[in-house]
Amino acid sequence: MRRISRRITAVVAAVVSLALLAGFLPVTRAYASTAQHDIMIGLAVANAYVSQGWHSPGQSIDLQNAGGSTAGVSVYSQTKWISGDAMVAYKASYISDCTGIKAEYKTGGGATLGRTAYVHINVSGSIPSSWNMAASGWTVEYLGSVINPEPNAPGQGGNDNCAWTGPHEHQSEEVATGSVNSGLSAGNSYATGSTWLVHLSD
Amino acid sequence: MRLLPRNRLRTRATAVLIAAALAVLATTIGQAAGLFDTPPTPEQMEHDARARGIEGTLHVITPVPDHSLAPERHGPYLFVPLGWHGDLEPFGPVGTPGAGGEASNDTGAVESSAIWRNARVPVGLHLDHAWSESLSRDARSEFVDRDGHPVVSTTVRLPQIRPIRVDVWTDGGTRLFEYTEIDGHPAVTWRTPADAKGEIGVRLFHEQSGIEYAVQLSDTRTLTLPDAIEILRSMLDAKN
Repeated sequence: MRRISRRITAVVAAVVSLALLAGFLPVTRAYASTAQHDIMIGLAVANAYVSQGWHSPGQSIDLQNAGGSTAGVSVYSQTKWISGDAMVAYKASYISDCTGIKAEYKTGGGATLGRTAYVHINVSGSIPSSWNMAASGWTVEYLGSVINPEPNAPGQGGNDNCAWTGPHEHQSEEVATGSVNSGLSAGNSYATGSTWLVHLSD
Repeated sequence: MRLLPRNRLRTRATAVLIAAALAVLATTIGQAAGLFDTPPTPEQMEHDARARGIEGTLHVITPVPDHSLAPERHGPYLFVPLGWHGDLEPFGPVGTPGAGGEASNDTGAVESSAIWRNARVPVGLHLDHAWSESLSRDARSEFVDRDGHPVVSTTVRLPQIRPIRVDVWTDGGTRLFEYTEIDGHPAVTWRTPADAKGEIGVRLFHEQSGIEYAVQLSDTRTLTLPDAIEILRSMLDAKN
């Protein structure tokens, strides 16, 4: 009887090992205990067309509506929880030659993990000074809408430091700890419900 | 508790009621006149998000409108409330030198440009990188601490239009942007709310040269506004 039991145990162990190796059984992903959130595309359309890939200054990308007009489209701070604790987003001061707003993303302890500038948008006057990035699902904060025309563009009597040739959302990222999605390229469209731009990790 | 005469109590109560009514009226007029944008409702935002394929838990932030501000002119600066859609005084180009110039992410090239100003920053910080949208018109830099975290950023630029627009907001009615003078030059200081542990900044317009200087602190645990002003002064003294 004992020998039969041992054999059964050995067979079960072998089957489980093979299943794990073959990827049939779910393996708990080894996330760090620290907070991880993704900054997503801010343009509120189903699919965003990248009219200019990551470009200077810093890490910036230009986005348009892949399925219609871009002017007047809402722009959100959209973040997605991946693991760990909540984070806090702040409406940050912004020095810019164009029209836009910057959000700063911090840990609950106050360490800055990254900043995102949302440019060429008619900024809402009702953005709270800070908001909680929940430890589950998505957190969405309204920032404004894509402006047309950009009043600071040279063609509108503005300045040469504000490059603008048509309605788009320019989203630039500064990352202290984390990574930028280098897989996005100009001329392609991406689903805003799943495409991340920056992975924040403390 | 000291008791007030009934007529004084009545006067105070009336004053409070009038103030409250005026505040409500100002907000209503501001919204009705379309001076500020109308943010979507939480229901609209959720519907919008689901339509875009966002699944699972969704936390929608409800904006808190603050329509108490109006545009204000301070020297060369025009304070514009965020979200303001009403009229503004006209902006006009100025004949500032420095037309053209290429954008650059090359720190060495930016440091060699005529508009670059060396900044003296506190011990423990070092220049991480510099960049420019136009080497003849602006130079920007970021200083980081030993761990590589951004602490100080600077800007030197030739503003092309007047007035110089400053987007302002309040923290529940508390002013965060202030017009001031530093060493006789018009300047603006700003901060994010104390509980936000956010940013502090100062910008100054040097009228003789047409150059604007700005310093922004992103780590305010160790540095304060006087530190930002000292860094800005070091840039003013560097070359001018």
